[in-house]
Amino acid sequence: MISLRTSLLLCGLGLAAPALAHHSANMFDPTKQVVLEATVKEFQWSNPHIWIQVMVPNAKGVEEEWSIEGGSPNLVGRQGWKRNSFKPGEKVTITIRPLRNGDPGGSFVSAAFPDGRKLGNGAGVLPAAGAKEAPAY
Amino acid sequence: MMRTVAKLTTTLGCLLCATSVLAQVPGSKLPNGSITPDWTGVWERAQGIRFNPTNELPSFTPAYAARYEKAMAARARGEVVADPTSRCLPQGMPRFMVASYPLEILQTAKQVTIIAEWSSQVRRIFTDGRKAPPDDEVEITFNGYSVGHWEGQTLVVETNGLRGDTSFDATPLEHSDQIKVSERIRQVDANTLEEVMTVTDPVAFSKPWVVTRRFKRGGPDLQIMEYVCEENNREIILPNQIRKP
Repeated sequence: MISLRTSLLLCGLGLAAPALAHHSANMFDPTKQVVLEATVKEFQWSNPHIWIQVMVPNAKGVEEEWSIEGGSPNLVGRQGWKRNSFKPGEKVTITIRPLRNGDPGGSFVSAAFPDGRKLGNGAGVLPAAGAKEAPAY
Repeated sequence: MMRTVAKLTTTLGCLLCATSVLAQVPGSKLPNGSITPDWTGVWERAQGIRFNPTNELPSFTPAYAARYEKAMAARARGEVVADPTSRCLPQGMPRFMVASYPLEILQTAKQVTIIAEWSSQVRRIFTDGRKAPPDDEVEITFNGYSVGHWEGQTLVVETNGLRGDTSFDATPLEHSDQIKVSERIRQVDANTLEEVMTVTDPVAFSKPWVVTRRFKRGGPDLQIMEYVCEENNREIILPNQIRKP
């Protein structure tokens, strides 16, 4: 199930660093967030970015594969992620900034698991030394 | 027997003595007797990943101002602009010192080596008194040819031999193959390095661009990790996104 909401992120746009060190974040729409009720298909713990492949039922109830990009393993690893943070078959609620071109994919914002576990801050900005949270955009 | 014991004791004493002298030296002893600071260890950037933490732009020449405006307009339309690192090419100098991911400094009397976690890149700054090859002979490389010397406690580095097709950061800032970088790096407190970088490029900039960046000493658990960009690069790069100097 997908829910779309346009957020007020525009206010901060242009002030903070782009989300990804490896490439431009322009392929993603920073003004929108999409919440996916997903099932993990595969977790690619790899450089230059980690990818979470998830299955999400579309409006017709047909399962569709989404590709969600996060930071690199060194970056998210330092924020508490492990190479087994997403396990195939696991249910997860994932919030993303969607691709502008409408393809099923986006940039990772946060994840919440049924057991209460949460992952955030993995979009790709190494926080400044001493900072607890990285600016997302 | 006694002589052997005495000999052994002397040898051991000398070894201990040498070890303790080495342990006491904070950096490297230079021919003039001065001791350099020791920055060996892992360092993190203290600022964002824009090349200039103040976000101030360089003074472009008219040609490079036009290139910049064109690329910014494309970006505003939602187009993905060229960034060579998207193709897994090394960040190169001077972006190397933006330290998107941490840097590790290794130091000897004759060389300061900086390892960037991002794409496992290495800079060798020769502090053995050599001169850089002339501009028309030096190998053109991503990280250039760096020659350094110590002015008191400040490491002064000059880099030539740089490519024209690297980027300053993920924005459309460009430079030409006439780029040269001067650096002055000093320790401002126990856990902070400050670097003043002066970028000269008579083709791209009408005057030198001076940028100050800071680094914080990494905590005891911070280790440089492997980073092989080609492992799983899923970016689709279109021909018009390949930067040409």
